[in-house]
Amino acid sequence: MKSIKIIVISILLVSCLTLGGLFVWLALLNAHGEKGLSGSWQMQETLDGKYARNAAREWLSGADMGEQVEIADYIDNPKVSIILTFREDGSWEKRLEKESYEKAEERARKGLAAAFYELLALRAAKTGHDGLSQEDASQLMQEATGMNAEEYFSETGLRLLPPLDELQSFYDSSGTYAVEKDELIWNKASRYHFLVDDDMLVIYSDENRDFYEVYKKYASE
Amino acid sequence: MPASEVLVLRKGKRRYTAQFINTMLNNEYNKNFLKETRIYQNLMLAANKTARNILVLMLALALAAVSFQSASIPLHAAENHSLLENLPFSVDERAAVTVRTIHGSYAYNRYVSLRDMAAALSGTPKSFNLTVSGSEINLFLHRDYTPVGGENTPFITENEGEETRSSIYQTNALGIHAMNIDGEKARYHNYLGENAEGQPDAFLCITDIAMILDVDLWFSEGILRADTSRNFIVSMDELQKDGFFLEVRSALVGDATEGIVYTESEADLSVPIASTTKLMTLLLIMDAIRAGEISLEDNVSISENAAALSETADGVIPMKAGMRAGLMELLYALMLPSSNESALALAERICDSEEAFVARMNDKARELGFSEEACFYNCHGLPIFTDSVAASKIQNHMSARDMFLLVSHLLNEYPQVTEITSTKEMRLPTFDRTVNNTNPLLYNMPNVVGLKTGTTNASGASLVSAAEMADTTGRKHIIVAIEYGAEDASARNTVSQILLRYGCQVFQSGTVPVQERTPAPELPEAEMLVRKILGSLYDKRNDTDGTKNTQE
Repeated sequence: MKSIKIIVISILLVSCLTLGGLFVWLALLNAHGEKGLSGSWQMQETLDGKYARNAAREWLSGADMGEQVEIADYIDNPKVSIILTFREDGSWEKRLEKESYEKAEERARKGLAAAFYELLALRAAKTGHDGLSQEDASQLMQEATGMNAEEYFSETGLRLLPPLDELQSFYDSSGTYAVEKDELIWNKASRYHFLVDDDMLVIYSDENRDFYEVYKKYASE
Repeated sequence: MPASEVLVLRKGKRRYTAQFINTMLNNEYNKNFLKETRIYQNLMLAANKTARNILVLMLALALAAVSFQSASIPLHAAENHSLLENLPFSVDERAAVTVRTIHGSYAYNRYVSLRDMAAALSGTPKSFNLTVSGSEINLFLHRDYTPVGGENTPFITENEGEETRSSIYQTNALGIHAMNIDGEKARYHNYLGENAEGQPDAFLCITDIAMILDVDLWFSEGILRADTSRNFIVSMDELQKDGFFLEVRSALVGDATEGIVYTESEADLSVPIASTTKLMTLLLIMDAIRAGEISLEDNVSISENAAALSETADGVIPMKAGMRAGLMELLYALMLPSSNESALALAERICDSEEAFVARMNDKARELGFSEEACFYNCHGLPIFTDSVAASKIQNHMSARDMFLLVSHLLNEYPQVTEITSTKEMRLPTFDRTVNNTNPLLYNMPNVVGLKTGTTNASGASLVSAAEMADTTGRKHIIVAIEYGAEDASARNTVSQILLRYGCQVFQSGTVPVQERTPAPELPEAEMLVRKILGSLYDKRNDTDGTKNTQE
């Protein structure tokens, strides 16, 4: 009789502990879900480079032989940062980071500058001045205008990306969120799965598991 | 003798007809037989003698004609004129006299009798004397006319029923026959004929006479009138109203030194420019000299290509591959008789290939701000065919305004080129020949310093002319008249002279006509930037090269 009691009490104790642990674990899981999500996350978005390349091509073709320079060799698809912030009050905010936009614009101008130097080399070769390198062309421009090509484009305000406000109107948004287990409920309507792993946040759709956004932890400003 | 038989020859009393001979020769046996017989031999001998006699007769006739030529109309291609006019001509309000007038091929394309004009103007401030032979015309301005008889006699008219028409009047063909004005060679198109007394007479375009005599001529109520107290003045407004510019495809007159346009017509129309291309060729040669690539003292080896070109129908001066000619000599050959082979030889000397030289020409065109349509395909201006199945004939083309930019730049950067373009005649020792300048205005107007004629079927007869004037401070200005697309050389010469006179007239008046100036099209930003940077590259290379010549 005594041994049966001990066995039953042991089982009960283990069960309690397990349940308690389970409870704690679940509680922690829930708590980690919301607390892990809160803060700012950064995602890199690749824009369609056609806009930038067309703008560059249009500018360059104003010069004789400009159409002979292959712009695609110099300007790739621009990349900008999207910042997603989850606040503890249950609101979220998404915005295009202006700094990343400026960097992308700068990179596109740099590509156009290199393309322009190639044009200079082509034109110089046409008149018997062969072998003008990118460095030579940059220096020549510096001497002729007081600045290199990148600086010139920046100074003259040449824009190769779509306007910032246009992109912002597309990417910037805000709303509310809630977390249920591993589900993220956007604006009390849409549901997405999410996974936080250390400094990475993955949000994906149940309907289409290929659709996902990957964020990295973003240092607050 | 039957009509079908033709008497071929006669030997002694025997006559051999063509029919007989043909019958005999058509038969092979007979042919062979005849060859070996004395009959055949005699036939051939007789035929030869007859042929010889006919030839001698022809030569005798030709000789007689040539000897007769000196006292009569030259036996050039004769021209019969049926469009004749007995033009009433009133000088200083006096009673009108008749001036025999030929309408050259078209009504109102008036060529008037010099003798009749001289007789009418004798004793006035615009009088002139002249002598006309079968081959030469001599005018002596401000001299009273010495009559020879037959002056101011109307053309004979014939009555045909109710119609009265002039008889046919014969002259030689229109051409630039030898002409001197006060001992100086002049080049005006003219007809040579005879007057009513059989005296040699010359007919000049009425506009040319007005300019030669510098006299105010105008039509009023069907009468040609002259005011000898007034000089020839170009009224561009009146000319434009009369459709003056319809005779050419495009024209522009302006001060090339200041870059001011006085008048223009279709100046932005891109037209084939023929040999006026050589002005761009000349500019690039001068650039090359300045850059130290070549020197005026250099000798140029004539390339295979240039030699081959000289042997074609477009060749001007025969050249052999490997010949060496002075660069200066080739420049004169380029600009005076418009030597295409000289252009090619110089282009290949500077850039190793015509292709590379042409690339420079197009680049220079962009640098100077030419219109987008301006394009060069070669260094001389000859038409070429495209290398395609549907080959088309293309030529260098640009607008009159582009040409104004070109010559303004050329004359401001290298004023010394007028020493070449104003030369009427030059001996080229390497080629053992003397060449003449094709620009007629050099002979017909004072102060003319160039520049270049151009003629192809597509471009018509064109001329870029220039005159040197001085302003009140003594500073020299070059007045330029550009004309493209006249129907023939005669029209080109007259129109260009009027345009250039107008330009000089405007300059002297000191009043630029009010005219809406079309601003030069602004270059795209990228092109302006390229030109600015490359301009500094060329300057930099000139400075560091160490072989730069001082400007000639």
